Order: sequence, then C-alpha cells, then structure tokens
Amino acid sequence: MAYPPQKGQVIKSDSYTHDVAGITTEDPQITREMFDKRQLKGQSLAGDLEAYETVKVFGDEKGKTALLCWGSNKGVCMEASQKLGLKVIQVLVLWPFPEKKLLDALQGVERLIDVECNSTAQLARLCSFYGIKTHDRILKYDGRPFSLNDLNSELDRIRAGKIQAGRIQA
Amino acid sequence: MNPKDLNTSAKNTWCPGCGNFSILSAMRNVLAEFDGEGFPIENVVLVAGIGCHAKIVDYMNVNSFYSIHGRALPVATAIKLANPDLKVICFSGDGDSLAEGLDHLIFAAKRNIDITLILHDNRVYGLTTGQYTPTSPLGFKGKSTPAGSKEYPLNPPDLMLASGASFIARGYTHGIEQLQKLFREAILHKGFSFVDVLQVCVSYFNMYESYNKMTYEIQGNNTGSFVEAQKIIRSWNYDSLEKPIPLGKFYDIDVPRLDQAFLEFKPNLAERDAKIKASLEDFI
Repeated sequence: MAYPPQKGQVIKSDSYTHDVAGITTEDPQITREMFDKRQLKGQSLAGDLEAYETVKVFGDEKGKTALLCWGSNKGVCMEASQKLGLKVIQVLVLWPFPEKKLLDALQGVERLIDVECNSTAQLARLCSFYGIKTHDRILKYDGRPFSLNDLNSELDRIRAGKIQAGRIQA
Repeated sequence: MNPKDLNTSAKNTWCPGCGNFSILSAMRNVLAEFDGEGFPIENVVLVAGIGCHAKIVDYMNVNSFYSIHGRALPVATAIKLANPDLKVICFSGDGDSLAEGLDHLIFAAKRNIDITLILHDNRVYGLTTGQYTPTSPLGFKGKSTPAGSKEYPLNPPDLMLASGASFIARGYTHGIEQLQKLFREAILHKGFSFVDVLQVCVSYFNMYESYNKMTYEIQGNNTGSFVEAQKIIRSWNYDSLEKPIPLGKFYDIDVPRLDQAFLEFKPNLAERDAKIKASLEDFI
C-alpha cells in the first residue's frame, strides 16, 4: 500500500476498471482480466472465512428436528428448542454461502424447520440453491418479532400436521 | 515544472471542443506554478466522481482517487482529515454533486473542510448522452425529457452560500486566464472552496453562443458580505437566457473549519504505516 506524499511517485486509486498504471480503461482484454482477478479475490475471501464461525449450533445437538434461523430469531428459537428438545442452526454469514459448515451442522437432522421474519423465506430459498431442503416454513411478516408463544403455537401446528411450508395465519 | 510534465499517456476521449479541456489546462498550469513556488506536486491529491469530468484525473500525472458516482467529497474529506498537510482538490459534475451526491456537497460546505471543489457544470449528463440535470433550465429537451423538463434548476452557488461554504466563485470554460486565477485562489483559500464552472458540453448542450453574450466579470464587489454575495448570485438563476451571468469571486470569508478540529489527533505516520502493514500481513 502506498500513501501520498511520496516524492517522485504518483499514486493512483481507481474505482473503475484500470490498467497497471492506474489509468481507467474499457479495453475488453483488460476488462476480462480484471473480472477474473476479482473472482479470485472473492475465492480467497471465501477461503479465509473457513477459519471463522459462520454457522452456529445451539440446543439439542443430537436432535433429529432442527430450527433454521438467521439474525435475531436466534433467541426465540433457542427458547422454543428447550421445551421440545430441538436443534437450532443459525447461519451467521449468508455470502459467501457457508455450504460445507451448514451441511456439517445438518448431520443427523431429518426434519428442518425454517423460521424467518419475511414473507418469502429468503434463507430457505438461498439454501435451496445448494440443494438444502427445508421441510417446513414458519414465516412472520407483520412488522413484529416472534414471541415465544407465536413460535410455540406454530410448532404445535406443524406437529399436528396442520401446516407444511406454510405461513402464520391470523 | 512545465505543465506538460503533468500529462499522462492516457488517451483523451472528451469530444473536440469540450469545455473540460480548459479546466484541465488551467489546473495543470496552476499546479505547475505551485510546484515552482515550493508547494510540491506530491502533496496534491485529486479526487473525482463519475462522469465526463472524472476523466480529468486520468489525464494528470498527479496523485488521484477516481471514486464512484457522487462520492468525490466523502473520499476527499477522509483524505484531508487523515493528512491535513495534503492539498485535496475535487472535480465533480452537476449530475455527480448536485443529484447523486447532493448531501455530501451540503455537508462539505457545512463542515467548511479545507478542500476545493471544481464543479464541471455543463448542465447535462454528457457521459450518458444527454439527460437533464439539476442545473438544466426549465424546458430542457433531453433524452429523458423529450417534451422539455418541467423543473426549475438549482442555483448551486446560492445553495453553497446557504450551506456554509467560505469561498464561492464562478468561471467559464471560455476564459482560461480567469479560471486559472479562480482555481489558484480557491486552492489557497483555507476552508471549503466551491468553483462553479460553466463548462460547455458541445455535444449535448452547447451554450457557447449564449454564455459568450451574457457572461461578464464582476469587479469591486465586497466578497466578505453575505448579503452582497447573495444578491450577485441570485441575479442569474440558471433559468434565463436573457439575464447577464456574473463570473468571478462572489464570497470569501475566514471561519473555523473541520480539519482544524482534529489536529490534536495527528497520527505518527511511520507508526501508522507499520500498523497497517502488520494487519495486512496478518490478513494476507
């Protein structure tokens, strides 16, 4: 890294695709090379992420049924899991997607229940890009977080076979 | 230093007759003069946004940061705060700083940070081939407004005066000597200096004829008076082809600035470099 001032040196920073001298270019060959270079940077960042905790597991680690969540739904999922003896899997990093760590966390899980605060099951859809199937979906999108009662009653409905890939109903 | 020493090998892609050539030439002359007067060129950092104006940093062999659309000023602010000894000069366009980056422009003036903004005000989006911008006049017929724009233009110097800029001037790309004089004064000014340059876009909004007829150089005005500056600035609101357009320095006052507020945190540069290197090595 170089910072000004450096006598006799000119330091160029450029957000646009640029050549080795730091001059903007739209040359197709350089443009392609720069795209490839950025891809490599992405891969090395993904490699570095392997050293970090990107998926967390709580609750009954041997549970055959797991709640899948992200962000602040962790708390309510952990509370609900205590009563029912469930495993809780929280995805911390969404991109680069922690495919391997999530598959490790899913070892022994036979039924995966997705718990999210949005109307389109964003995490479940992201998982499906990697062939990871969620069996049930509990989605809340009324602008309020899950209470323990909300989640418990939805889990009860799932256990009673009343909803599958469903949404909270009024 | 010869201004030609500040050229680069980059191919110039501005249209023939573009007003940007005058800005480039004037700035090169001023920076070469500064270098000769003991202010070394390596202490200058140029910052640009995105637009035709931004190519200027590729055409000058001077430290530069070619930033993203509307963001020249935040980058420049950070550079100045990190090292207040640098002279930081921003280039931006009317689309860049009055539309996408308007909040940054107002805050740079409000903070009165010691950087200079040269506004390449061609009153059209040239790089994207002719849409109306915040300074296009009412009725402007462009690609996005084929029936004519329904909006009145902003008056950028008026906005800067209200926001707290401590130096406000206007130049025209047909008057390179005046541009040089204004650039020089703006860069030497301590505080946020704003130079609105009526920069003609020959391809999409050719105003040479109108500007040649209507512009005049203002003289003998009291640049320390807010009221007088406002009166001069409001005498032309970017909307009329019939009103005289004043050029020159409108406002120049000395007031406290943001970069002075952080001098006590002046970093030990050697120590900072070592820390950055250590964390980079750790990361790579």
